[in-house]
Amino acid sequence: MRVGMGQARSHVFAPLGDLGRAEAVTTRLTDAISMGLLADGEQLPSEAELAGQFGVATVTVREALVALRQLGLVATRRGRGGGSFVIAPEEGAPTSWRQRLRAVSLSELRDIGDHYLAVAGAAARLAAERSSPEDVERLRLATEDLRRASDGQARGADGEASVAEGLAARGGGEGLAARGGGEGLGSVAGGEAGGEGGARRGLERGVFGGGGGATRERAADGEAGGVAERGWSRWGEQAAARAERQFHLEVAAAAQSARLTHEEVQLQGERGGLLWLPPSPNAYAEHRAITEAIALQDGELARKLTEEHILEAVDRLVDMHLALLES
Amino acid sequence: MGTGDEVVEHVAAIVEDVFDRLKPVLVAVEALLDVVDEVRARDLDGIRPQVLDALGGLVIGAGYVAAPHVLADQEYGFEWWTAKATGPEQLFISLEPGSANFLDYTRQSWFTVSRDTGRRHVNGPYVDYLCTDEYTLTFTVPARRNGAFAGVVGADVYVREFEHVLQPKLRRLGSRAALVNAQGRVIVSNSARLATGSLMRDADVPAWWNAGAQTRAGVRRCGDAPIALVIP
Repeated sequence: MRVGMGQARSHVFAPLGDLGRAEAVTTRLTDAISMGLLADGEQLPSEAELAGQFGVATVTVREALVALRQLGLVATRRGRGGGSFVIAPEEGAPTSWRQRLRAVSLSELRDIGDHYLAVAGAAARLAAERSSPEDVERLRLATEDLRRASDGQARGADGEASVAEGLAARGGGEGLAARGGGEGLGSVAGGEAGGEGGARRGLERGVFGGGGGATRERAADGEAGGVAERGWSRWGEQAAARAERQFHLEVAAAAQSARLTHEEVQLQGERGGLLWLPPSPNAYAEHRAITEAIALQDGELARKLTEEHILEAVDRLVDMHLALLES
Repeated sequence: MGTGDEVVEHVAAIVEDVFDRLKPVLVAVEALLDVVDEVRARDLDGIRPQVLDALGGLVIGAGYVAAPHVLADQEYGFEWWTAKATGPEQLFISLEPGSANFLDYTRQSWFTVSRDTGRRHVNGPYVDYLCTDEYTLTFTVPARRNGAFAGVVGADVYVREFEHVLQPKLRRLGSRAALVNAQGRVIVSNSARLATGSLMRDADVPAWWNAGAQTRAGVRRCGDAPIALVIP
């Protein structure tokens, strides 16, 4: 039976309960912290300000902050100079995103995949129509970032490469030079490293350099945190996710669409960001193929390849989600 | 029926106006780099008055973006402000190359072209995902320290505002016409068939540009800006 218009209209203007809102606020802040949008040590606005910004009751914000404290993502200090401060998970945040992936539902994952497919697929098709050689060049650079990430991650004895890459990526002074043609720096680091211990040492310096003592200890724990799933190093995961995000942003930008780019940014900031966190072994080849389809102005192929790329990422997430539930 | 002259002159005047607004910023940046031995990120506060002055008219964003290692205490850095309804807002993005959110601005054309040519440049239209997420034209001029490239001073203009001021004159032309950049990408047109952001591949603008951009039938350069009026 058709719902009467009056009834439907009154529902539109019904007061919004605070039910589930604390959870929504928690999720938003968790994601922002995990994605690094809120930095370690950053002070959050006051409860009242947060409530105003989110458009929820203060008590809802308080509830969310309790949850965030339990997750270890926020510390609250009382008194003068007090407030709530962000505790960023260590680089790469493997524990944190695995927690999020565990909590997410299969229907939600499918929905994220659908949304991403619509945005990124359309962006790829338009990018093929509208890319200038300059745009294609930027896509190639973004693709190469992924190669470096996958070359650089520690698959068993590949320690040397990952040291070089870790250093190249971090490399205080040399960051950019390394990006241009990092071979020189890489071989120096590789020569220095030699062997497992050296690799570990190098990784610590490369990835966690500048980090505090606690971070360094966690690095030494290594595999204990379930870091090296599929042989990916913490650094590799992080670098691969960054390269994925940059690549898809570049594609959306190459489509000349502010709205698609905005959607892409939103997706990366919300749970869609999960998509690129478990690194894919084929991502480099896939990005290359997409880039070449765009360079050849083959919009249909670019779209098809992008959709397949995303569907594979969703499959990977679903598998991992299920595995996490069993563990 | 208008003439192309009117459009060409108007575009050239807009471009000159934007670069004029950047002159005091450039002076302030180069003075800072010359005077201070080791310029630190917080020293960039010193150019803030000139940056804020540059905002206005079509300019909705302005500032200085440092080349890598120009600052003594961090690899990347900038002082950039955007005009918002609530007042000027400073841009903050991740500048830590190891961070998941780091986006390497040194790959952006508004940075590379000024760096590689040593000349002023108008970049876009492009989606400025680093700053506003808007469809933008970015005007940049290289800044130097001891003669060496030290970053760019720049200004952002929204494509929609640029279109807004030029559309009446384009309409008066009475025939299909578009303003395109050096890649042949449409910035504004007066026709549905020449969509903003699309490439006029037929007009072969990049080749014309590389050959010196001499006036030819249907294509005219607007002042010394890398913007051409195409009447196909």
